[in-house]
Amino acid sequence: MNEFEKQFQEIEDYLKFEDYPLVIKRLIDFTLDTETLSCYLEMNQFLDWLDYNGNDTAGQATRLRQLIDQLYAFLKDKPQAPREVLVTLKDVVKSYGTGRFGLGPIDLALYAGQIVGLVGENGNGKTTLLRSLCGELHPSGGTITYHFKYTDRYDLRTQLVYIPQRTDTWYGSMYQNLILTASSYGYDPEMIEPLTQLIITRLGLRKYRLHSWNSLSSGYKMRFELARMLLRKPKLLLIDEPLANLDILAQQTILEDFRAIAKSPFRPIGIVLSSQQLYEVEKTSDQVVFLKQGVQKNLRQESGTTTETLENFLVIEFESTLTQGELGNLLQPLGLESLQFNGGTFIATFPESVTRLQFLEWVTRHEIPMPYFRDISQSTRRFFVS
Amino acid sequence: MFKSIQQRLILRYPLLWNTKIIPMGVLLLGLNLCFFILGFALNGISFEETHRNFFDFDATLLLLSLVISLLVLILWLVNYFKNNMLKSFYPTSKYHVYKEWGLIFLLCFGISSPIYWYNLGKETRYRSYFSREELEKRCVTLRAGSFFLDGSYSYHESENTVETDVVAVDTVSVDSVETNGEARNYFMYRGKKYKNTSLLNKNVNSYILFDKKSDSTAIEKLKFWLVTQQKDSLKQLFTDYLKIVKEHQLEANINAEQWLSLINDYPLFEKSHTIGPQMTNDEYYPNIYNNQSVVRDTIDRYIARDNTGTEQEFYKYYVPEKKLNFNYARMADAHEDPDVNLETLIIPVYFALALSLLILSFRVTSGRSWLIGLIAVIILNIILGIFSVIISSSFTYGIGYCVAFIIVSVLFFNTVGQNRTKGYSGVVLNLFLWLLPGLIPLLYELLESYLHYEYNAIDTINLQYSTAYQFKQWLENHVFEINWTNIFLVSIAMLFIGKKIRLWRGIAEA
Repeated sequence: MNEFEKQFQEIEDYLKFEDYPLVIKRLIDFTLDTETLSCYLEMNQFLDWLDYNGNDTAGQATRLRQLIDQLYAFLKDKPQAPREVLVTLKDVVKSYGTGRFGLGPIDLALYAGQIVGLVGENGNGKTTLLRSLCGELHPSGGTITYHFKYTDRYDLRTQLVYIPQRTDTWYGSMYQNLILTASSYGYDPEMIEPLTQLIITRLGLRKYRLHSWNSLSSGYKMRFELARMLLRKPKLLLIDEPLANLDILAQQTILEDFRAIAKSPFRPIGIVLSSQQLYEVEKTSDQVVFLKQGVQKNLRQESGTTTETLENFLVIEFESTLTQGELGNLLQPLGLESLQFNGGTFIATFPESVTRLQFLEWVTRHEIPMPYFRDISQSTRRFFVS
Repeated sequence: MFKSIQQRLILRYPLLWNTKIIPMGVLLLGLNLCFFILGFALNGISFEETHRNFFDFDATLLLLSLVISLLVLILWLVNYFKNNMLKSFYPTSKYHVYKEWGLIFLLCFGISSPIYWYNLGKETRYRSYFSREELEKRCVTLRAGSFFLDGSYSYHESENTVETDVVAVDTVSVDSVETNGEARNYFMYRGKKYKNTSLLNKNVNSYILFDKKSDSTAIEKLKFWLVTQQKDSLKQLFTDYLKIVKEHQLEANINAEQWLSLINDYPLFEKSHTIGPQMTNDEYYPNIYNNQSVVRDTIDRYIARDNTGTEQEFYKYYVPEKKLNFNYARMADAHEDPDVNLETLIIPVYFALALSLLILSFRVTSGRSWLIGLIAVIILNIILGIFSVIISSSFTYGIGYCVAFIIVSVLFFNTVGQNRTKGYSGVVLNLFLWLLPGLIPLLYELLESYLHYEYNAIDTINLQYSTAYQFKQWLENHVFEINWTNIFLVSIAMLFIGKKIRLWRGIAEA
């Protein structure tokens, strides 16, 4: 089952469980994949119908079924885009002067369809790395190689979209701004409006399209930035702290959107995002880069399409009412290598041979009080605490 | 309609939409057309006028055009600066910056030209009264008529100068022969001697339509009519003259017969009556003249009280020559030497060029770089000004300007070539764009100063044969061509510079 079939199966499952909003979102993604005016118009027709018939679930199911079948027929033979390497960084260093902060050296390869999360404390180089990747900063050393066609530096920067944490104000109506973007990117004039409508709906902005920038919340501003980014068809999306100022539900939705955008079978893009929301980023990312005072620590090693975790220990974060000494005595027989107390939580490290299940059995057997537990072996969380 | 045009533009031609060329173009066309209409409507000729009114519409309209242009500029900039495709890194063609500058330049020209259109309307109105041929015919009559009215006489230093048939009449002229002690008091004409105060020695009021040769020929013809007593021709001339007077509903207190009899003091024409050029009392000879030792022809003038009760001297016989002369001169100027021409067009074009480069530089760099650039230009000018004063040389400013231009050019192109970081090159780019249009005019000034310096060393007799003098004359005679060439060259240079600006935009900020 290829990526397209896998994703299509997901839509079938959503439909089966009557999760229509999700079905619509994913169907819009596939409609965008067709890059065909007739499909855009058909989907827009359905969306217009939905505006007035939102309560007609039976009607929705029937129409969605038809659209799924049509899109499947259209896309099943369309060649899928290969997951090519987009950019490689070799010993990249960015220095702001002697005795001041410096980033790097950074070694990284980014692929189409891949999401890379940048994590680290404030002032450790996440934004510097993003700005270097988008061409806004020139590295002091090392090389950044872009593996796609561009005619000059300006043309390169049109293919790299960087969304900073504080975005510039958009003037005029949001819809007009998006139309201008689409028009500048050379879409067929007849396609521009249906396409923009679809993207607006895809990101849940249908109600806000005629709003002004200042009347939007941070979350919706971010969504409009994403809508514009989708119209720009970038090779690489670089986004700084997209989850800041978003509630937990909005964070999950936007991360899911990132996944859908990056993993498109036909139009995959590479996404690099920085965030302080460690768990959420790790859930979404294929690769997580931890930056500590500008120095890179990768959780996994990339080799083509496979990833390997670099250090193989069992690392458990937990809370307990017992003291560090009592816990040490109790866990020592299981092979405890270290036990750190870290601001209310304990971090216990065991050899690779110890599994999470064995740890839980041991805790249960010895009735160790443990209201909170998390396996952080696969998480950069351990870089924060060690 | 505008909405659908704008919608079409945003979908197909984002640059045209973004510069708001259609709404602004229509607005500016309307504005300039309004000023043309105002110029046409407010400048009808009243033949009662003898001079420019203290209050005329020109100054008011100039102020009005400045205020409106400023408001339109602000309105446009507010809308234009809403989106910036270059700063957002939207895909653009290599000539995008050039096209955008071209559009800015067009709009800036529209913003800076209402007063030009006002003047064009005014002169069109002046030209609309008579065709060039009809006007020339009338001016021939008015010029000939002025020969028989109060006015200046020719000045003669030797007999030889008056023996020829054609003499340049306005080479030397005097209002009254008594005022110049060196003048001869007689002259020769066709072998006969006449007093300088003879009617045959009169000058004419000419018009821009005629050259000196034409005036001399006209005078010669009139003299010939007088000495050969061609009364019919003279009477016909006076009839034609008075017909023009009547047509403009003006007043004369003599008819053609009377006019002829008043001036025809054959054969010497020494006691011809003086016919005044004015009938109203707003131009008068104050009575004080009579208290001085000035001989006045009391036969042709009388003393009376004017409306204010002051005693004034009035002509006994008059035609409204001043009114006709003033208004026909205006019309002749509008036909022959209009104020609105390619030479004066250069003023709004230069203004538009400067404004367009200021706007473009702000557009492609940043407000911060633009402001620093502005301060740098002010400081540069102060320094060059101080140096010019200290060194007391006309070369200092020009040389300083050229050196500054060379430095910023090298810095800018080096930044683009190295493709590393922009650094302070935003400021440099601003300076480069602002100094560019002044380069050729400054080189012109430098060259002129140099030539002046060169030919100052040559003695006066050989001056006109020196190459430096001839070249300087050529430069002075072609100042407008050189400025148009400068504008053309800047426009061509912008094609290349625009491509470099686009590349510069792609360079890393730091």
